[in-house]
Amino acid sequence: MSTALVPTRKADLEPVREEEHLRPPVDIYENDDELLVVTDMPGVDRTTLEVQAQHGELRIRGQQEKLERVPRHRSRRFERAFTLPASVDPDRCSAELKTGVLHVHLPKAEGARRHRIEVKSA
Amino acid sequence: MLTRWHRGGLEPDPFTALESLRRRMDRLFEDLNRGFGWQGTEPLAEVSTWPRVDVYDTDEAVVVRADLPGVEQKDLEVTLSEESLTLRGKRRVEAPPGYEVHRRERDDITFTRAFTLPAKVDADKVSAELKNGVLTLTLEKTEEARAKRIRVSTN
Repeated sequence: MSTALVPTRKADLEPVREEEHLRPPVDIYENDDELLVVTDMPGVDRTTLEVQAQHGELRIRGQQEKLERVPRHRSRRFERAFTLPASVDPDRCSAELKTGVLHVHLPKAEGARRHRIEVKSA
Repeated sequence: MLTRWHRGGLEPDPFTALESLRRRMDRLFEDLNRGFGWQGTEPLAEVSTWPRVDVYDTDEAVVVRADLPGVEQKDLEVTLSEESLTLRGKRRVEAPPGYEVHRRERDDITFTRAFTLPAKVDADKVSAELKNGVLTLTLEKTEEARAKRIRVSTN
């Protein structure tokens, strides 16, 4: 008979997770030139933020800073993903982070911009 | 417009009760799946209390952490009384001028949250910092309230 310890449940195979995942709320806006994605990322700074626009997907990830005064503090992680429309030019995306709020600018490709058509009266 | 990314692929616009029911079922399954890794991308839960606040009790201090994304310092008020701590403030969410709104999950909110502190703290030794949308309060405990190590002797 084997004497090895065997986990009783599948979950017991995994180590205890050190962090908690959150999906932060997102606002999406559009104008003639771009799509604008706004999301709450409190406690995330530039070093722990990851914004990727590739393979037709926008993926936003961030890790909150740990509390120095709390031993073994578990910081949370944020993640959201969206399918990018073909009209967005992924190479020209930019992002800014201010007071824990992230703004991602997704400029439209030149051909996809909306053009106003002037209606003339006869 | 952006379409929500989902395990099952693209979803049509939600417009029927059936769709709403299906999403709730999805969420139920996502909750079950959460233990096994990252799955969906819907907001984790409809947060009924805002902001999210953690209170930690360490040997020497009570540390309070509140997620306050988009809250300006001038719109935040923190008060401490004998045994309770109160956070008051507001967060403004406005569509940028000239933009159409596709999705609106972030709330425009006015909040008040009060907490009973787990230990007596020294009101003169409180530090409060608002950084990257997180408020961190460190409230040093009074001398009497600090944890003391008790030496255990053996014969």
